[in-house]
Amino acid sequence: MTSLAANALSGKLRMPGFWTIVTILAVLLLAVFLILPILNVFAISFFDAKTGELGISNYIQVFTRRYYTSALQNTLLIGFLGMLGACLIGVPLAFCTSRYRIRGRAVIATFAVLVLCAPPFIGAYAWIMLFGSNGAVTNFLEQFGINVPTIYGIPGIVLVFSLKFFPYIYLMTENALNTINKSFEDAAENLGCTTFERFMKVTLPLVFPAVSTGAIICFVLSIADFGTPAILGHGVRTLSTIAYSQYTSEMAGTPTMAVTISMVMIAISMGALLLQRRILAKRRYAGAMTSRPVKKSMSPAKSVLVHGFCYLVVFIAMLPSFTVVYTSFLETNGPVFTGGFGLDSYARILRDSPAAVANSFLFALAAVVLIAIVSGLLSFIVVRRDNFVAGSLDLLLMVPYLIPGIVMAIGYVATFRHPPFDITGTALIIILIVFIRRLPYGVRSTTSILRQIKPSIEEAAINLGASPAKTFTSVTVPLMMPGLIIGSLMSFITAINELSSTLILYTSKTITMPVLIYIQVIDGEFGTAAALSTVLLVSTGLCVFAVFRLSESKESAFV
Amino acid sequence: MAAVEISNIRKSYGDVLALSGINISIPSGSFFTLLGPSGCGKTTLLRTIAGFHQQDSGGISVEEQAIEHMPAHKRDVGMVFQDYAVFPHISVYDNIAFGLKQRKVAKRAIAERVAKILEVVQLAPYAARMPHELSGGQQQRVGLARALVINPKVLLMDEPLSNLDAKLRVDLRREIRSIQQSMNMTTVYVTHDQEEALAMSDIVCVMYGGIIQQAAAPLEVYNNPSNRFVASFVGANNFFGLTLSPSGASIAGLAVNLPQAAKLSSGDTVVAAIRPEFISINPDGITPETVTLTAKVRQVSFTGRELTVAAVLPSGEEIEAITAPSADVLALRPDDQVTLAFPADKVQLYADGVTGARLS
Repeated sequence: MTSLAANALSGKLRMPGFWTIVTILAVLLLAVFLILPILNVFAISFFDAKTGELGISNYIQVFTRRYYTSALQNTLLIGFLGMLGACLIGVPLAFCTSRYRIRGRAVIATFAVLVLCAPPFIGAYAWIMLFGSNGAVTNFLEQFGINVPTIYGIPGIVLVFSLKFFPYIYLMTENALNTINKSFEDAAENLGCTTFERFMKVTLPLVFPAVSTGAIICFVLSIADFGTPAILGHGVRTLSTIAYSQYTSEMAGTPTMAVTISMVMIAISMGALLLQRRILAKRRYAGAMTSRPVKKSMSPAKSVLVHGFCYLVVFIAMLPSFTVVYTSFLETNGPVFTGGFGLDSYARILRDSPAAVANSFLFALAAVVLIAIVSGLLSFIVVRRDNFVAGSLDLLLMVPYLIPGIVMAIGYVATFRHPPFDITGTALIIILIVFIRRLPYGVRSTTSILRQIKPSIEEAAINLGASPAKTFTSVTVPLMMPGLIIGSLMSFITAINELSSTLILYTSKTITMPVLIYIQVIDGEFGTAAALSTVLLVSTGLCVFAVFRLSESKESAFV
Repeated sequence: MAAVEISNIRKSYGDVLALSGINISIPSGSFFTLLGPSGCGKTTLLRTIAGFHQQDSGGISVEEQAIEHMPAHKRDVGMVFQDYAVFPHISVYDNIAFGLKQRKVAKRAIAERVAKILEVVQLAPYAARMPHELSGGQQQRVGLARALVINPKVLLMDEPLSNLDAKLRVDLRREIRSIQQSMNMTTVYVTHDQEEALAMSDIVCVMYGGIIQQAAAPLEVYNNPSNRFVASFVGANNFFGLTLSPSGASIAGLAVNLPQAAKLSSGDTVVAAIRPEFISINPDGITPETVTLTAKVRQVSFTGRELTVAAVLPSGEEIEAITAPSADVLALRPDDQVTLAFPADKVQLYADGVTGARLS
């Protein structure tokens, strides 16, 4: 009797567990800094652009007027082809570097990440400098009577997107390929599969979750990108270009229509994501990691081919960056290149804009520290906690992928301008928006590694008397470290290159490098823009290289 | 004194009842094995004791203390996992010291206790190694040492040997048993391997469908199965339909003299069971207490210590006999007719159905 009563009592008085508290805090955080701003923007789209009346008149316009519907078609086509191109480059590259002994794997991986660093509009501009109607390569080949196919229009945009976004697929797929149990592939080979069949029938399905996650990122980024279609489009309108021109045009612009178009873009991305989740839901991919994949050495001829492929891919993808770096050492006078080489452009940025450089690093680092901490905790909730909140958090964390920066920024201005919570114009608002927008990169990476850590390891710690919090810090975090590093790395890279939201939120005190580059490109200051881009490229490139070396030794130590 | 007392534990996942009214009392220092096919609820029960699953209702007490609502990390029950679950990022020494550090044991005492348990599991030279440098068997020894070193009130083992190869499995099970006996450690062991269960346990608890079918000493479970499921799951067994008519019982159309069938009424569906080792092939003398059947040989296989003869009764029912190797039996060819004989009192009768009750 007494023990029964004691049980009932202890059952009632039990303190909320560590993870219950963390879950509540996580929900609050996302509600305030993610949901609230989006709801504010969402509300705006339901007020008629001209009359201000409540209704769906804005949406009717988007789906009926030819101006909008042709943009919608272009957007879907470009998004799909860009994603496909990125897969066709990223997956074979990942296979080569994870299954064959490649000299300079770190260089390839670093270049792949560096490709992500180049701000897209600089990339598009560099492609025009090379392959445009007056480009360096075009002019060079014309001497021999060779006509280069046009870089403008949809084919050019798709090419730029494929080469720009394939690293997402490459990095995610390679990570997954490195953690497949070798026995599956051995079994397939044993059952009579050729190398190619084995790859198509066993390896690819096993890494499909990673490939599809990367592909969805490529699709969403392709349809949200503004700079590339704006520069290469030559009359090809996409939803993002008309959304930007509607918002920023001072003359005939209707910000409400810009927001409405953005909502349609969000809906498309959301559809793609739900599709991916439906497909993934049928696949369970937990498996014992009893034997690690082995990197094979190759025959000399094959080795030359494989190395050639890997280096060619990253070289072509790096071409815009090389062009930008080269350009930064040219002497310029406004938009005119005077012909000589020199460090003029660098002298000018040191003199005129040291704050932009400092701000960029400070904001990105602050955001990444927040991301690392929050994504570690969030991924544990998502993967290990089997409840309704965990499921909805997982879904909620997809949202930042889907919301174009401009929409998020409009939402932040609308939400955080009321005292005492007025943080518009501060560094904090920029750090917070970058944090929220890049959080999914961290969480994606940590959840995918956490899914591969067997829950029994954590149960063992709990069973030995470690509290849930202690288990997390002493067992889960060290095992998640490779995922945390890669996640932080990817969010840092995207954070420091953040443009679309900071362009709306910056002040003269909080200006960042990408914003300054964008302004200078618009003003025709190509020399200093190139120099700033080079600073961005080189400094992030160095971090990337260092962290990759670090994570390579860490990965092997943990398996 | 019972070390572990489980009373009326129920657990369901949605509509599926995983555990239904489990009552168990485990004496202190005994080796208690939960045996059953996959999905029978044995692992669910073990994990409920460990606190990784929350029961719907019922109580669990260890050494008179109720633990069913305690968080898993405060229960002080050691656990050994099927996939070892050795922390891959810390050394063997740190793995074993993990639980002691949680208990704030002094550094020197930790070193002593770890060293001692490393001796017990024969891993003393490996203290500084990382887990990935160890074989599966060695990793499981680390798992065992890690659970034992904290002196748990009860040791839980979840199919600890099923990821190991056969030879190692037999070696390690002897070792686990002798360590358990020397430490007098109350142990709850989960396995689907009936031989392992019989070899190691003080008490074998056979589970099926979330229900305990029988809990008794290994010999008792083997010789006196409480129902048809236990009879078929523990050890090899032959089952055939027993036809009851007013004139007597018959198997495969042949009248048999089974005193234990006398009380049963004709028309009942009854299954007769005889273990393969009780069947002799083409015996010389036949007594009235012997049941004889004729069958057609299908296959004779030699396994070293014994011969297994698979045969088919005229009814199509299959029957298997195990005998000592002899030239006569080895000479049998498929389709040869043989006479199979076994003592009538070794035949056990069960009601029809997977868990049909014992009738004799």
